[in-house]
Amino acid sequence: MHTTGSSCRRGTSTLMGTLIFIGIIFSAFIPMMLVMRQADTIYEKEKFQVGRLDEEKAMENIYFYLLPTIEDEPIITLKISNRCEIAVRIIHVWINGEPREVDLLISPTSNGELELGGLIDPVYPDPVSFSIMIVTDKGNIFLPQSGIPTYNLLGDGKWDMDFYTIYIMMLHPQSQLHILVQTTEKVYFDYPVANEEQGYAINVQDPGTYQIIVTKLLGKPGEEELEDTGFTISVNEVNPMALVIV
Amino acid sequence: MKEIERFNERRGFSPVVSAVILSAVVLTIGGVLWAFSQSAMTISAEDYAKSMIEMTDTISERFIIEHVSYDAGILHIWVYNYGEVDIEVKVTYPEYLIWTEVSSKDLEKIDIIIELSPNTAVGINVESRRENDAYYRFVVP
Repeated sequence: MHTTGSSCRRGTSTLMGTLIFIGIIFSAFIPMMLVMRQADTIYEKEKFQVGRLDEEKAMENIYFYLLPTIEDEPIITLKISNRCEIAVRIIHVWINGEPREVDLLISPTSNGELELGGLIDPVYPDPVSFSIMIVTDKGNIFLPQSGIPTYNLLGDGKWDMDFYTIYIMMLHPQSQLHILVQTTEKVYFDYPVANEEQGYAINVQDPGTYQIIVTKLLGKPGEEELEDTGFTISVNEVNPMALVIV
Repeated sequence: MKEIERFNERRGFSPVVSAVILSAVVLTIGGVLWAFSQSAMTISAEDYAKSMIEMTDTISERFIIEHVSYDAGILHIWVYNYGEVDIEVKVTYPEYLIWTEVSSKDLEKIDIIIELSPNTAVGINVESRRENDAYYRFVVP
C-alpha cells in the first residue's frame, strides 16, 4: 500500500514534468528555432540577391561615343550601345567634373541616345573641351570611346575638329568582320576586325560621301558564308562625325 | 498502543499532503524553468535575428567613389551608394572624422579643406560604419 502511494505521486510528478517539458519545447524552443530559421532565410535571400547584383554589375558592358549634334551650338549627343545580356540604366553623366542626373534605360544589345545641352559656362576658359563619363545604377563607370571634342566659344563658336570621324560600332563583337571604308577616289580603311574589338574610329581628312562595306563571316569553321552590308554616309562641317552601327 | 493507533489513523492525510506538496514543487520549479527558458530563448532568438539582419545589411552595402576633384583648396569626393541600405561613411585619407550619411541610390558630395600640391597622387579611402570600404587614386591637377 505504501509502495503504491509513492508510485502514484512519482507518476503524477513525472506526468507534470513531461507536460512542462513539452510546454517548454512548444512555447519557447520551437518559436526560437523558427525565428532563427527565418533570419537565416532572409540572410540567404539577401546574399543571393547581392551576388546576382554583383554578377550583373560585372556583366554590364556599354560603349558610347560623343557626337556634336549641331555645328554652332554646344550640344552633344551620346550614342550609347548596350553590349550585354541585361538592361542597363544610366543615372549620372559627368561633364567636366559636374554630375547631371539622367534616367535612360537601354535594353540588352540595343542602343540609346542622350542629348546634353547647356554645356557652355561663361566662366570656363576658352576653348572648352568636354570630359564626359557615364555611370550606371549598378555603380559602373564608363568613358567614351571617341575623342574629346572642343568647343571654341570666343572664336567662330564652332566645334573644333581637325578631321572628320566615322565611328563603326559593332553590336556583336564576337562576329568576325572585315571593314572597308572608301570614296570613289580613295580607300581609307580596309582591314579585318579582331574579335575582341568593339568599335573603330576612322578619321578622314576630307568632307564627302563615304561608302562603307562590312563583311561578316557567318557559320561554322569550314562552312563560312560571307554577308556584305553596305552603308553610305556623309561627313562635312555640319556633321563632322558619323556613326555606323553594325 | 493508543499512540500507534492514532498514528495509523493520521496516515491517511500524509499521501495527499505529500502529493500536493510534490505537485506544488514540480509546478513551481517547472513554471520557473518554463519562464526562464522562454525568456532566454526569446532573447537568444532576437539577438540572433538582430545579428543576422546586421550581417545582411553589411553584405548588402554597395558604394563607390564616383568622382574626385580638387578645386581652390577643397577636395571634393562624390560617393554613390548603389546598394539597398543607407550607409554612413567617413574618409580615411586624409583622416576626416565627420561621418556622412548616404541614402540608398544617392550621390553625396564630401568636401574636405586640404592643401594639396599639383601632381600629388592621393589614395582616398572611404570607409563605412560596417567596415566596408572603397578606394580611389587621384592625381591633383
